[in-house]
Amino acid sequence: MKAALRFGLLYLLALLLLFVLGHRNQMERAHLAQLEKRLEALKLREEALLKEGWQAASPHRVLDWAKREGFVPMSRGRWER
Amino acid sequence: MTAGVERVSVVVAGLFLWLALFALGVYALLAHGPTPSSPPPPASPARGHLYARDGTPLAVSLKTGRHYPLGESASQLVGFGERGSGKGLEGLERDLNAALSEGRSFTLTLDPWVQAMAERALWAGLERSRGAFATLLVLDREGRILAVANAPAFNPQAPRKDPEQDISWRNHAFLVALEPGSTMKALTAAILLEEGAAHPTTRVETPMRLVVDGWVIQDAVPHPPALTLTEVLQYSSNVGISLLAEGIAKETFYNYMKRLHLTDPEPLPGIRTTPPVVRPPQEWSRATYANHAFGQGFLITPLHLAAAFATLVDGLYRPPRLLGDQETKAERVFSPKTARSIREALAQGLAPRAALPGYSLSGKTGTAQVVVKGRYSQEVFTAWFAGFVPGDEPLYTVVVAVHHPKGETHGSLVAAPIFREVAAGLLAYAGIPPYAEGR
Repeated sequence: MKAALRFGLLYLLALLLLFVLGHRNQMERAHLAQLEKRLEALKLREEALLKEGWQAASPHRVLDWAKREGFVPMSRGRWER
Repeated sequence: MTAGVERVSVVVAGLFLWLALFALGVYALLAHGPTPSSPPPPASPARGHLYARDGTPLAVSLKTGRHYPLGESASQLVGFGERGSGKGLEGLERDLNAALSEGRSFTLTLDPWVQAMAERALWAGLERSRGAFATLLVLDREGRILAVANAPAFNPQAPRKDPEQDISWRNHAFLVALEPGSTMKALTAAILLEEGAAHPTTRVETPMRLVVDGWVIQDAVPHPPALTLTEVLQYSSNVGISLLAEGIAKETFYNYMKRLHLTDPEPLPGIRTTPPVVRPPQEWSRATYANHAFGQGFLITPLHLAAAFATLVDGLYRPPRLLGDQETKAERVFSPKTARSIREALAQGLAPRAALPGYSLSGKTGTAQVVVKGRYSQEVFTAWFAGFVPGDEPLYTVVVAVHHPKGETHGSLVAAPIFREVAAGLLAYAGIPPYAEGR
């Protein structure tokens, strides 16, 4: 009977170990998924910032600004400011 | 000892039970366990990028799809692709599709600042003239294409319209063959000088109207009854240039057209261009040859004209280049003296609306008649201007074409102001100060 109890105890210990390992695995996976999601969001943010930067520095926008500010090419007259 | 012996059966039974359960577990795993999925196919490389000469991205592959950072700028040249697969449908996206889809990237000779200046001038010019479409090319001294502007503007990210109705997607500079009109006179004059058939001061009787083989050749601008070659360019006399062109054989003229690559079906290797429509000289009548001398009767793209006109910089034909790593070989067509003489003549006769005080500019206007339903239309014209910035030591060759302008139709009124606007920007960009007065 004692042997059966000992086997049972060993079995329970093994189950406990399995539970601990499984739980840890699940936690790690959840963390990884969270990191991947964050990375994805950061990449999208990076792309959005890149697009914004390209738009802000586009020659057409800069030339529009220059015209608004009154800068004209030398050949069309001196700087007006 | 007896107790130990008694336990043996229990231990063995436990062992068997464990083995049975273990075997059941293994069987369950093998029979119903998760089957390993087939290995994923190797990921295809991201579509290659297109960059301008200074590294400005023109077309890039992002997680959100293909993106064109400059938006409407250079959009007709760069083109676009299928929204889902990214396969190139038009422009460079189509021409370079095979290499781009393998992940290869390209750096173009395009200068985004020159491109933007050209587009601003062209878009405003087309709006003023209410034309059907317009195009503008800027080449540098080495034949590198710095700008390919097209109007009306096209947004590659916006929903597309019917390509038959809305032609804003088209790169007119490469894909539309037009009659170059009087801009050709500058090249004809250079051919005459090079062949020794005329001199800038050669005088010719120029009635306002001439009948050749039953065809009437007319001049649009009133002029004196006799003109020198320089004045023929200044008054853009069709009669004068066709009479002077009779000094050389039509085969010689055609040979020069070939050397200027005006008959070349592929002036930019690997990039689609509409082939010119030029008949061989054996088929030319006297009237056809006269027409060719002032740029009517054959069709070339604005790119062909720009590359040929750039020959007047120093007499060398430099094949135009769009891809940064292309190697090209220059060919001599005219002597440097001929090229300089023509540029000087063009500077003397420069259209007032193309001139900038304090700067030397040179160029030739053109107002080409357009064939509509088999006949030259009296309403549809292409207004041209081809010129050099600056005129004395050219850094840039600029060609402007406005198709079917309404109201004012002449090149000197429609295309010349666009040239001036671009020239003003280019001079500022190159940092060239105005010349001292009296120089």
